[in-house]
This record gives sequence, structure tokens and C-alpha cells, in this order.
Amino acid sequence: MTMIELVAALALFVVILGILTAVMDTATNLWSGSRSQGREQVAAENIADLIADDLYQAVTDPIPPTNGISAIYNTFVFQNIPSNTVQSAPVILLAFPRAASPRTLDPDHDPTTRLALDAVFYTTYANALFRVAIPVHTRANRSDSLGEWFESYAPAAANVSYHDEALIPAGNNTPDLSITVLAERAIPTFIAYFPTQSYGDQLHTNTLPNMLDLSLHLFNAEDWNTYQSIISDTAAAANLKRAHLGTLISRRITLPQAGGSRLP
Amino acid sequence: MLAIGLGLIAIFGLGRLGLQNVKETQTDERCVQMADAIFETLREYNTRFVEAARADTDKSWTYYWNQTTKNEFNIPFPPVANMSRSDNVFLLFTGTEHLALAYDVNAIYLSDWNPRYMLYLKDKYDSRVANGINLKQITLVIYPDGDTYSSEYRIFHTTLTDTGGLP
Repeated sequence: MTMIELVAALALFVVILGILTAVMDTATNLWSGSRSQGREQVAAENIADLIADDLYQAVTDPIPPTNGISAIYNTFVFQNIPSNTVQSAPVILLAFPRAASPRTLDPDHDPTTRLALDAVFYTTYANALFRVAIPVHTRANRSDSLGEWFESYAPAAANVSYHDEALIPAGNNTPDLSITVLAERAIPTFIAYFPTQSYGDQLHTNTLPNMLDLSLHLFNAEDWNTYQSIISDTAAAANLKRAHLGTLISRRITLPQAGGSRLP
Repeated sequence: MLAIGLGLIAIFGLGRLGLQNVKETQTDERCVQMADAIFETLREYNTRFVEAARADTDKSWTYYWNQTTKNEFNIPFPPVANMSRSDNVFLLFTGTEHLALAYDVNAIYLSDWNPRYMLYLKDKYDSRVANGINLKQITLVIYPDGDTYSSEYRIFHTTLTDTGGLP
């Protein structure tokens, strides 16, 4: 073998090795990307199922209170927050009472005053999505309306320390109520529909809407950083890139007031 | 060289197969989301029709569904992730011969999924109590790749019931 043949063989080897490395690298990226997306897809579907399950059991009481208070309190609340804001305090995104679940932790530890209702809150804090459920209790010598009971639980549902403890578990500081981190990086969006009107920004009402459209955008850490870096970019390329980051799922949920058939 | 060549062909072949599988899995998930959103919309309309028929004895539940299948009501196409966000897309009953577009031809985005579909309704069972048909079967056939037919269609079914009730 001459020197020229050796050099030619080595050059060919290097070229083939380069091609193989590029192919393997692309394949590995594709595989890890699709694996991460698959994981987020399952998580997003589970969260949507959880929200749907809560909404299917939502209750309301639009009748004016009988305790002399003329105000009618809201029992169904949602608001969409801009995706480029970082919350220093928890924000309630969706809230409503539902039929009680036996799995909801009862901080009052008093079964004699517990009603068959849970106040359910979906909150966001530090880009994470949480679910907070608090059992509804009657109060001594009070005949509050459902709305008054419900609103009185909002401060606990938006408590910073509960969210911090749920986000970073530290020893014995476990929250004394049912709070769950559903996703670490999530952008949920809601649209509520009544027969003649829809609400896309926020809604505070004491009647349940007919339908709720939920869109849930989940991200892994890498996609989230990229998303945040181009969030204000209005260029066409940035718009296209944003659409491909993270996992986006949607779900239309009919509420029980509409009598939506749950038949298959 | 022959061995390396064969190895490369095998790698490229497997890669292509892997990509096709990923695409099909993604299509499955998208079709399920689309079918769920459409069926949930129809269930909500079914409830409205049950209520309307209960309030107005001149028009039956069957009447409202017959009008719907003639596309008399403009039912907005439900918002589905990664699909057209145009307000000009409506849910159409196509019968078994035609396909409808799930996107607005004047507002197509590169990042959107643009399938076609077939949606039709069949009377299923009648009831002596209701004195007529009280169950309809809805069939939705989704053609995920629109014009190219590079992916198999997916079929979904649901039933809608006239729960009846006194006026």
C-alpha cells in the first residue's frame, strides 16, 4: 500500500465517520425530543382529565342568599394570565366548588361541620400549575351562601408558603391542605361558553357556563428557556418556532349544568 | 465498502421507519383530540335540542337534528390544539360521499395540522315511549394528511340520546 492509498483511505474513513456521527446525532436528538414530548403529552392529558373530572362535578347556587346579605357571590371564576408574566404570588386561574372527594385532606379535622363540597382552585405560581382542594365547612350560627363560603377559601388557596412547600418539599413543612404541583412549566388557557356569549379573558359568575375550552401548553426546561427568550418576538420565524416548542393539547369540557351526556 | 454501504442503508431505513412511527403516533393523538372536541360540541348541542324540544312541542328532537345535518345551523368548529384558529371554519355534516376541510383555505399556517373529515349521523333505535327515534349514531372519519392520503384514516363513533322529559 502506497502512501497515497493510505491517505485516500483515511480521508474516506473520516468522511464516512463524519456522516455517521451526524446521522447518529440527529437520530439521538429526534429520539430524546420525541421521548420528552411523549412524556409531556401524557402529563398534559392527565392534567386535562383531572380538570375535566373536577368540572364534571362542579356545583353552583345562583339563588340569592337568605341571610340578609344582598350581594351575590361568584362561584365560578377563571382568568387567563399573559404568558410573559412571572408571578411573585400565586394567582387563581380557575375556581369552583365541586362534590366532595373523600381523598381531599381536611385541615379543620371536624367531620360534623363538613359539607359534601370541596372548593377547588387551579393556581399558577413561579410558572408552575397547582391544584388546591379545600373541604367546605359550615360556620357556627351562620347561614352563608355557597358563594360566601367559597370566596372565604380563596386566601388559603393563594397562600405563598403552601405553594413554596409544595414546590420544594422541605422536611416536616408539608402543607396542611390538598395541594398538588401538576406541572412545573405550564401555560393554561380557558375560554368559557354560554349559549349566546363566550369569555376568553376572565369570568366571574355564579352560574356555570355550558362549555369550557381548555388549552394546556407544557414545556421541558430546555424548551421553556427557548420559549421565554423569544416570547416577545413578533417575527414570523419566532411565531413558527414558538408553535413547535413544548407540547400543546386542548380539551372541550361540557359542564353538568348543560346536562352533557357522558355516554360514550 | 459493501458492508459499510449495507450498514448505512440499514441505518437510514430504520431512521425513516422510526420517523414514520413517530408521525403516526402524533397523528393518533391529534385525531383523538379532534374527535373528542367535535363529539363534546355535538353533545352540548344535543342537550340544547333536548331542552328546545321539551319547551316547544311543535318541534321534536329529531327535527333539530335533521336541520343540523342539513347544516342549517352554523356550528363553529371547536378550537383544537395545533389546528386552524380561523373563525370561518364550521362543523359540517358531509354525508358519506364528501370530505370537509378542518381548516380555512385563506388562513393556512405552516405550523398547523390541516386534516379533512367526514361526519355523518344515522338513526339508530326507536322507542315506544318516545314514539320515534331516540338515539342517533355519529360517525367521524378523519383523514389526517388531507390531500396526500399518506396516513390511514381514523374512524370514531359516538351516540346521542334524546333523554326526553315533560315540557
